[in-house]
Amino acid sequence: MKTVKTSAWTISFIGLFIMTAISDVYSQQGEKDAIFNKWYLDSYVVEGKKHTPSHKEKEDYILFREDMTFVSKTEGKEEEEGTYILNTNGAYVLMIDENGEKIKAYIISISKQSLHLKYDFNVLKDIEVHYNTEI
Amino acid sequence: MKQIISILFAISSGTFCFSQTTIDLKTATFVIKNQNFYIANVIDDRQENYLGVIEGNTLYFEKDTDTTIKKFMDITLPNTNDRIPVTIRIDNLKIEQAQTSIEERTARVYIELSFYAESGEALYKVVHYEDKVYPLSDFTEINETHEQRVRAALEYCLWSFINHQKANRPHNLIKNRNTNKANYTLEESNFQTYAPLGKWFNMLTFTRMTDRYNQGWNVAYTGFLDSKSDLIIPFTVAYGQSRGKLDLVLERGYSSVNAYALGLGFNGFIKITPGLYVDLGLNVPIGMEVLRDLADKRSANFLIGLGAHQGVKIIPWKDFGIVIGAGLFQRWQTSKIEKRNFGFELELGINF
Repeated sequence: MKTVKTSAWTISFIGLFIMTAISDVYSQQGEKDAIFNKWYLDSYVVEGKKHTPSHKEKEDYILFREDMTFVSKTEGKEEEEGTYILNTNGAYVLMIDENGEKIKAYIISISKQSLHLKYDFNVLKDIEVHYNTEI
Repeated sequence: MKQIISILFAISSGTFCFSQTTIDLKTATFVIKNQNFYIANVIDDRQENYLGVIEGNTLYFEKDTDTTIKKFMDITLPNTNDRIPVTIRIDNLKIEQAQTSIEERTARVYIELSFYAESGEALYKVVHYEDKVYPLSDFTEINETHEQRVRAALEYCLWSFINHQKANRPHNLIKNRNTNKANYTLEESNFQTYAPLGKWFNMLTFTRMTDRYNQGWNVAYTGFLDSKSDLIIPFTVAYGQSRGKLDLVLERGYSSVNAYALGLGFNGFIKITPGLYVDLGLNVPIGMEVLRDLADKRSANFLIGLGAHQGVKIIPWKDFGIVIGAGLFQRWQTSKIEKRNFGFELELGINF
């Protein structure tokens, strides 16, 4: 009887462990897949206060492709292209443009419709940049 | 006597144990899909087997570094029958943290990994700094996230290797299972030699200045990052006073002259070696000169000018100790008693 109880406990524990591990990997895989989209600039958030982008930033976007290349448009200027690394352990996207310049952006949150990034350079350091899948 | 030795041994062992921190690298992290290789071997080729020393604590993985990283790689890139074995050599892996500005602390993992084919041929070498800047007070969070930065650094290295293989597909050694010298492509991507994380110095100094006309003093807080750069721009807040020498003041028809000035300008340290700096400065002093004539009548004079100084600063001990400095200064200003001047300054202080 005791052996049966112990076995049940062991099986439950192993099951729970496997489920946790799978859900962890699955959520990170989900995050990875969710980023493959065209993200339009929606707003800037500074100390919890939302700010609308300027007129010339109205159609700014980043397109993250599945082949790990990206296209971005900033302040209405010409499109920029490059490659990116999605580092799930570091929770950031590292964008490398055609000149080899690197921009790191921490992923604050991601869902099917919205992406919140915090760029790792001084001017934008304390600003959350919010993107949506629709303008 | 034996008891004393035992007690001393127990204390020293206790201190030794206390100064070690182990890091448990999480393994159920992420899986890289659609790859045709797995990590068959991890070789730790570092000189020291610890990961870093932070605030007196030596950091280690719970198990050997090669075993720990192999376990991480086994989950990230599982060994299936159709995959090709690749060996990783850890050339360097360091965890560091240091104050890097007046209000920020940087935590960093430095990693150097080399990838080898089954035949032993070198395929790729990657060097990477995985860093994050925190507010100075986030000490606990920094310590809790070293493990995450190691994982992020390992993930970066894998992606870097995968992207390199993709970019060099015609010569893809792994894909072709070909490691002939003719096809050999060793890429040292963005290769850079290791530069230690800069150390932030806080200094409180007292400077005594003397010249032909004045005697004065100055107290200052100086903060600077001793980075790999040869020119360092320090952050300085200072307050000083000077008093005209009595014989000269009387000669000019005054009983006393006091000057109060703020110096706005550029100050830079040229690093000769860590702890020895040439201190150069150019500034515009703006302030007030308070004059009292022989009839004890008080008047004020607006001071503005141009000043320069050249000196040396010696900081013999990095963590805590004394600061010694000496230098020359030149000044041109709208003073009633001296328009042009030069003098000497001696500085003594502490760094912490």
